[in-house]
Amino acid sequence: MSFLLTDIPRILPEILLLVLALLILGSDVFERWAADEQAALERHRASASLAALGLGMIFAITLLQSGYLYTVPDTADSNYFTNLLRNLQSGIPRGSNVPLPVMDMFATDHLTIIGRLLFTGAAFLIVLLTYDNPPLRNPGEFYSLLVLSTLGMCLMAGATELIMLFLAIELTSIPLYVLAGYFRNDRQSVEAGMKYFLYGAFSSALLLYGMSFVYGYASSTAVAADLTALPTSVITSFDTLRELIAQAGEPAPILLIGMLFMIAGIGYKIAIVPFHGWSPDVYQGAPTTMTAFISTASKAAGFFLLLRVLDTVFPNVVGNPIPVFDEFGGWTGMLALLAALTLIIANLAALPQTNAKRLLAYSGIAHAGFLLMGVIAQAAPFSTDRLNGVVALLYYLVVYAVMNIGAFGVIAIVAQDTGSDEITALNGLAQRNLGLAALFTVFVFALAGIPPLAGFFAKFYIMLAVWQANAIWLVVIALISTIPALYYYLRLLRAVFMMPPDISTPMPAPRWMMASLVVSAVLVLVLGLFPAPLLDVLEQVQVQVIAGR
Amino acid sequence: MLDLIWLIPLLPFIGFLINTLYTGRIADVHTRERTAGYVAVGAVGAAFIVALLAFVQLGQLPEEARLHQVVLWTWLATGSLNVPFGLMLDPLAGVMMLLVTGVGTLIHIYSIGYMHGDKRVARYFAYLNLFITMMLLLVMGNNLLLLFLGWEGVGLCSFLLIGYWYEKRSASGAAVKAFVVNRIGDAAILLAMMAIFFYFGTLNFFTTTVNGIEYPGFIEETSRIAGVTVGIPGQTFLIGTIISLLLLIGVTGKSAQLPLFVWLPDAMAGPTPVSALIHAATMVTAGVYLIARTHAIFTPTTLAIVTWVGALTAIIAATAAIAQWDIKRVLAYSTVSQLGFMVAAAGMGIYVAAIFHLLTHGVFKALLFLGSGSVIHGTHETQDMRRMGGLREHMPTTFWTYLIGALSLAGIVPLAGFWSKDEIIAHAWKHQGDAGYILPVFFILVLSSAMTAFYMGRQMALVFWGKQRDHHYHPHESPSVMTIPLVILAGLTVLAGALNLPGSHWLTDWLHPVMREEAAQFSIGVAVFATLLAAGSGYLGWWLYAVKFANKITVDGKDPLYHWTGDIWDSMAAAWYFDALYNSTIVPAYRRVAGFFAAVFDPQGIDGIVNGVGRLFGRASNGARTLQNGFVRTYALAFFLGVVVIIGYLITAL
Repeated sequence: MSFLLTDIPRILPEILLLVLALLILGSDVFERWAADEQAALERHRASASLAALGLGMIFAITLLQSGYLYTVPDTADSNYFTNLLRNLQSGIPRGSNVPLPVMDMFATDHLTIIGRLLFTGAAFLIVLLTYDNPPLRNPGEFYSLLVLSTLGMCLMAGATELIMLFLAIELTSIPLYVLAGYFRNDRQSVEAGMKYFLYGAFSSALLLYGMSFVYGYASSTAVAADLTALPTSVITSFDTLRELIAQAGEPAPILLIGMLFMIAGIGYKIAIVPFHGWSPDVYQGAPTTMTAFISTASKAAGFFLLLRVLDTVFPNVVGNPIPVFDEFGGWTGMLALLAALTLIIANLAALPQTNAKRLLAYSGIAHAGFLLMGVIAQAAPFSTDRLNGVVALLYYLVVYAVMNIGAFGVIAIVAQDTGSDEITALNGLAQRNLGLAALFTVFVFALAGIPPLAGFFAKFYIMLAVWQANAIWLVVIALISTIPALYYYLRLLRAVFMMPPDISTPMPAPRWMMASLVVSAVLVLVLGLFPAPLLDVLEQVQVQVIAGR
Repeated sequence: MLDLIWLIPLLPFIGFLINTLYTGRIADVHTRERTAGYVAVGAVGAAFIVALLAFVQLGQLPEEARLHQVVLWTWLATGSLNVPFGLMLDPLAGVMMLLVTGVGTLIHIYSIGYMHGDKRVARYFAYLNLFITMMLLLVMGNNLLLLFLGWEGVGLCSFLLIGYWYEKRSASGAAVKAFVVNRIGDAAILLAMMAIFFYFGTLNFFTTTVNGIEYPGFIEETSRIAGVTVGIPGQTFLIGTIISLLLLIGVTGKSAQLPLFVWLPDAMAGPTPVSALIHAATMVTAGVYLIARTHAIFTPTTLAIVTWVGALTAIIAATAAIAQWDIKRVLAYSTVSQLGFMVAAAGMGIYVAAIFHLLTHGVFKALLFLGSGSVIHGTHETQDMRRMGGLREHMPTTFWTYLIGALSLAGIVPLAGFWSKDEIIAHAWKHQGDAGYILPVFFILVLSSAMTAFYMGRQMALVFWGKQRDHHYHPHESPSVMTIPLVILAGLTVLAGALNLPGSHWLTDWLHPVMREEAAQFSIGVAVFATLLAAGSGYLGWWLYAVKFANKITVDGKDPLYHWTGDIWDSMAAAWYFDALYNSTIVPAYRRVAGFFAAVFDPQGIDGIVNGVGRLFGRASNGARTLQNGFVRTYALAFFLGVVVIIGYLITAL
C-alpha cells in the first residue's frame, strides 16, 4: 500500500512534532552563546518557550483535528474556517467509519488520537516544569530530544506493524536515555542514564526476538496456506498477523513464547514486576522533571502499544484470568498473575523507602499493576465489558499522567530549593509554602485513591471492569494492596504537614512550574467531579480496537 | 426549600474555601483568628438554619412522600454504570443532618474560645468546615458512591485534625494510624459496592430520575438477591450475607468496633473540640448510619454477627474505660462502648433505637468532651485525672453541665441517655426468645451499662471532688464562648429523651417510612432495674474515689483498685492488649515482608548507588567490565528469571 497525498493531514501532528524538534535544535544556533550566566539563561528560556509554545499549538491542533470539541457538519456553509477544519478532520474516524492505517503501518484511530493528546499534553506540562530550572548547558538539544521522544510515543500509540512498532519504541527510548543522564556532572544522573540504556537494550533484544518468533510462525502459515487468499498487505502488519494466526488453528508454543517475549519487552517500558528493576534507580537518578516524563508519558505509550498488540494480534490467545485451573491461561491469565505480583511487591517494597522519588517510583510500579488490570478486562465475555476495560485503562492513564506529573513537579520545586529529594526535605512544607503543600496534598491523595479526586475513580472503574471479567480475586488483591499504599503516601503528607521544617523561610515557587502544577491539580479535581465528558470521548475507542475480535 | 438542600453541604464548603484562600493571607494575627472563627461559625450556622427549614418542610409532606432527591449532575455514566451526583432528604438523613449541623455549630462556637491564640487557627477552622461538608455528603448522598466520598472525606479531615498539633508527641502517628486502620474497612466497603453494582446494576439507594430517565435503587429491590448464593461447591453463602459482612467490616473501621477500634483512643491526640465533633458525635456514628441505611440487605446470619460485635465491643471498651487516667481516654473508650450499644441494637433489628441512641449520645458525649476540654483548658493543658481534683469549686458551670452529661451517659432517669439505652436493653429482655444469643447479649449490655455508670462516677470524683492534687496550675473557669455551648448542650441532654419517650415515640413514627418499625415496648421492670443498677454502680464509683480512697490517689501513683485486681487492672488499662497484639504480630510481619521485598527487589539501596557510581566511574573506560561490576547484571538476571518463570507457567498452564 502506497502513501497518498491525502494521508498528510492524518499524520499532521507527527510531522509537526518532527518540525518542532528540528526548529528547536536549529534556532538555538541563533542565540547568543557566551559563558556568562545571562546568556545561558537566555538560551534556556528561548528553547523552553519555543518548545512550550510548539507543544501547546500541536496539542491544540490535534484537539481541533480530533473532532472531540467540534465537528463541521456536512450542511455547514463553505468558508475559510470550515474548509480548513474539514480538510484537517478528513481521514479522522467518525463514528464507526474508521480509515485504514497509513501504509498499513500507522493507524489514525481514536486510540492514536487520544495518545497524541495525552503525550503532547504531558510533554507540554513537563516543559513548563523545566522552564524555571537552572539553565541547561545545551537547551536546544535537551528540548528537541524531548519532542522527538514525544513523537516516538505518538508512533507507538498508532503503530500497527512490527517494524514500525520497534522503530517507535526506539525513537521514544533513545532520547530518554540521554535525557535521564542529562546532568553529566551528576553521578546519579549519569548512572541512571547508563542503567536505563543497558536495560533498554536488553529488553529491545527480547522484543525483537519475540517479534521474530511471531513473524516466523505467521509467515510459515502463510506459505502453507493458499497465498492468493491472503490479504494484499504486508505480513508484518497486525491485521495480517492476526488472520494468519487464526488460520493456523490451535496456537503453537512457539507463538506463545514469541508473544511472551514481546510482553516482556513492552513490560520493561511500563515497568511491571519482574521487569521493573531499572525504574527505582532511574527515577531517583534522572533529573526530576525527566522522571516525571518517563514515569507518565513513556509508561502510557507502553500501555497503548500493549493494548493494541495484544488486542489486534493475539485475540485468540486471550485466555482467562479466573484461577480455577483448567480455565486459567492466555495473556489475560498471565498478565493477571503479573498484576497481582506487581501490586503486592511494589506496594510492600515502597514502605521502607526514604527517598521521595524512589518512593514515587514504587508507587508508579504499583499503578502499573492497576493499569494492567484494564488490559486484563479484555477477557470479559461481553463486548461492553471489554469496552469498559479499555475506557477504564485510558482514563487511568490520563489521570495517572496528570497526578504523577504534579507530584514529581512538587518534588522538583522542593529539590530545587533544598537540594535534596529525600522525604525529610518535604518537612514542614506546609509552613514554608502552604499553596504548594495544598497542591501536593491533592496529588498524593489522588495517587492514594481518595474520592472525589480523579485517582479514586480511575481505580474504581478499572476494578469494576475486572470484576465484570470475573477476576474478583484480583480485585481483592488490588484493594488489599491499597492499605499499605495509603501508609506510604501518608508518610509524604506527614512530612509536609506534621514535621517541623529545618528552616522556616518561605519556599519560592517559580511561576511557570506553579502554573503547570495548578493546571494538573485542577485537572485532577475536574476529572474526578465531572468525568463524563472525558469518558464520552474515550468510549469511542471501542470501534477500532475490539472490533477485530 | 426542599430543592435547595444542596445549600446545606455547600455552605460549609464555602466557609472552607474562604478560610483557605482568603483568611490565611490576613497579616494581622488577631484579625485573622477572629475572621476564621466567624466565617466558620457563620457557614455552619447558616447550614443549620437551612437544614432546619428543610426538615420542617419535609415534615409537612405526607408520610409516604417524605423522600426528596435533588440530582445536581450526572457524575459517572459509562457502560451500564450511571451514578448521579445527587442529594436526598428523607427522615433518616434529616435527623442526621440536624445532628451534624446543630452540634457542629455549637462545637464551632466553642472552638473560638478553645483555639484562642493558636498559630494556625485558619487552617483549623478550614478543616472543621470541610469535615462538616463531607459528613453532610455522607448522610445526604443518594447513592453509595457519594456516601463513600463523604466516608473517605471525613476520614481525611480526621487525619488532618488528629495530627493538627503535631508538636505534641504521638499526634502525627495517631493520625496516620487512624487513616490506615480505617482504610481496611474502606477496602471492604469498596468491595461491597462493586458487588452491589454487579448484582443490582445500580448504586442508588432509591429510584432516582435523571433527565427524565428513572434509575432504580437497590434498597427497594433486595428481592433480587433473595436466595442468590455464591461459593465453592459444598459451601455456599447468601450473597446478601457476603455484601452485608463486607459492609460490617467497613463499619468496624469507621465506628471503632472490634477488632479495629484501636485507632480511636489514640485519636484523642487531636484538639478536644475535634474529639467532640468527629470522634464522638458524628463521624464515628457513620457506621451505625450505614447499617440503618442499608439494613434491607442484612441477612439474619450477618445480624447475629453484628449483634455480637457490638455487644463485645461495648463490654471490652467499658472495662478499658474504667482503668484510664487520661480524662479524654476515658471518654474515648466510653464512646467505643456506646457505639457498641448502637451496633448491637442495629444487630437486633431495632434500628430506631440505634438511631435514637446515636442522637442522644451525639448530644451528651459532645457535652462531655467539650466539658473535658473546658477542664483541660482551665487546668492549663492537664489531662491526667490524678493531677486534678476539687475542680467543682473553681469551674462551677463546667461542673454542673458535666454532671448532667455524666448522669445521662450513666443512664439516670430522666436524662436522654436513660431513654435511649433503656430502649435497647428492654428490647433484648423482651425478645430473648428470638434467638439463642439475645439473652447473653442482654446480660453483657446490662453489665456494660453498670460499668459505664461506674467509670463516670470515678471520673466525676477524680476530677471534681476531693482536693486539688497538683498545684502547678491555678484552675479557672473557661470563657463564656465555651461555657454557653456547654449550657445549651446540657439543656438538650435533659430534653433529648423526649424524642422517643414511651407512649409518644415520635422518632419511631418519624422514621417509619424508612425503618417500618413498631414502637418499642417499654418495660417498667427493666427500667427500674437498669436505673437502680446504674445509680448503684455510679454511686459506688463516686464513693470509692471521692470518699474511700480519696487520700490514696497520688500524682503518678497506681489506682487504689490495682491492689485488688493487679494484672487484670493492667489488662483493662491496655484495653486487653489489642494494640499490643497488632504491634507484635501484624505490624512486624508486614515490616518484615516489606523489608524482604525491598531487599530482594531493591538490591542496593541508596548507599549502594553512591558506592556503585564510584566503581562505575573508576571503570568507565572499560565497558565490558562495567557490565560485570554494576548492578545491571543483577537486574538482567531478575528480568531473565522472570521470563523463565513465565515460560514455565506457559508450559504448565497452556
